[in-house]
Amino acid sequence: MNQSHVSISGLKFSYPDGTQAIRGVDLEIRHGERIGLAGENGSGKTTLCKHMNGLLSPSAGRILVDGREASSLGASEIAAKVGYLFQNPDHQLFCSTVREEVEFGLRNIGLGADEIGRRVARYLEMLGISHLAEHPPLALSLGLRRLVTVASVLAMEQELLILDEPIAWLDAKQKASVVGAIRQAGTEGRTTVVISHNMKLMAELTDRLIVMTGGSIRLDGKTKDILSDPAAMASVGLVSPPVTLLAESIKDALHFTRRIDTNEDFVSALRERMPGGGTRGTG
Amino acid sequence: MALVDIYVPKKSPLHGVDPRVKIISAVLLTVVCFFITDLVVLLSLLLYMQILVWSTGVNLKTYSSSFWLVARFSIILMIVWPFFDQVGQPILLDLWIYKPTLPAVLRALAIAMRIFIIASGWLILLLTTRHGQLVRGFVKLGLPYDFGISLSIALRYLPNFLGTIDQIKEAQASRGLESSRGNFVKRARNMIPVLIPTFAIAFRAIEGLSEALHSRGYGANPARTYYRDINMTVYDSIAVALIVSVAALAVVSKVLGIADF
Repeated sequence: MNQSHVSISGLKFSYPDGTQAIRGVDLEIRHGERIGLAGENGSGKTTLCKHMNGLLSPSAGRILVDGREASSLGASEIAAKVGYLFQNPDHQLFCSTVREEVEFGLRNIGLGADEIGRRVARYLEMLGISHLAEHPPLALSLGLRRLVTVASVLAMEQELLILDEPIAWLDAKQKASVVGAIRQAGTEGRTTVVISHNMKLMAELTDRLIVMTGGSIRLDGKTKDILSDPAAMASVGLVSPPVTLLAESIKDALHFTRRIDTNEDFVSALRERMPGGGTRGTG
Repeated sequence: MALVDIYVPKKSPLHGVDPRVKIISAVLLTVVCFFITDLVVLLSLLLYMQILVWSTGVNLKTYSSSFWLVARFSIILMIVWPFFDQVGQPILLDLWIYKPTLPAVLRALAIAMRIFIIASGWLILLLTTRHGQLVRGFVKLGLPYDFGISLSIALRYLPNFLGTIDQIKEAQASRGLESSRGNFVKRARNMIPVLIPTFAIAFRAIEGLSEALHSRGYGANPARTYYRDINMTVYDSIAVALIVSVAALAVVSKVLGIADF
């Protein structure tokens, strides 16, 4: 947990049209951290992450993944170290079956047939799409296509996972599968970076929240501390989760003292204020 | 992207010209170019066209990639041309079946210059005309509205489509696909994971767009009305008359052998 996984220093990046997307970022990500990356559209979140898997090379500064320059690693080498889930599932699906789609990346990083078989079965099961293994992915609904891409990225079991809006286009059941799979990756010690506008998701999946504006990092701290501070969130153009805003509006009346960013926190805080610790009527 | 999404709002005289004048000029320039064989005349026309491109006030960076694409095509054409045209003397090189002669090289040079001149003409049209005006210009010149809207959609979506291809390449590279390694066959095979999603996205976009057009009443009323119409000014009419006259004079005098250029 304490070892540096990603080390970014003085990172600047400009696109060929002259747009300066990153204006000097310094960031240390330790092994096993669960990071959330938030910010308004165009704040530089995706551009920053594309540096972590070598898709972009810095205009200035350095980015090290496990102590090695990310842009110097070959495609299969970086693919074995860093997983990247893109926003749009249609940007990667091309195989004739779901199984082949999940196998594609595993073959690219040179795994044996037994290991490929084990991982395909595990991740299709984890995301609840085992029954679709022989279906053509392009013929599936958008939500299911999304699950296939999540499975194909998670199956590569990289140490660093970057997930761009992982629950977009999913229904409640599908969301639960993906959130569970990402939590599992975190439990197994993999570093996760979740990019999202969904602050409820951030509260569920991350411990550290980084907020970017205009290509720079504006806030970096514990997810709970940032999300439960509506004023700080508003200063970077974001809105706290609804439960935080609700707690904020009634905290004086109910004398809430704890920071609240999840439903569980809210229920605990209410119970603390109830006579007898809120144990009545729960059984 | 660079070829189509290059309209730049400026206040140059060419920006103010009616799109029909620019379309007619580009078409006539394309036709007249093929009648000109004299290298000096071609070179003069090429320089004149560059002055016109410069007069649009658009930064060179905006269209340099378009010119670079045309330049690459012209260079390839000039290299390949002597394989098929070996008429004349002297032979400049004798490499088995590749024997470029001086007249053939000059003819290839003329073709390359024509391509540049024609590209410059159409580039001026695209640099100085909004998509909507361009389509309206074509329709006012008598082309069916279906053609106009198809052209408009193509111009609107091609840049997005090319951007999508880049994103697909990035998504596949993240899964370890090395598309730029290996021999020709391997590289071609590695394009499959890029091409299939590209076509899938294109077909989905077409389906979605056609449904969206249908749901907004496309084709329901043949007598369409237009919110922003285009109108020719007196200057536009004079310009068309002049351009058509000069082009006709050039072609007729060349065909009848009155002038040699």
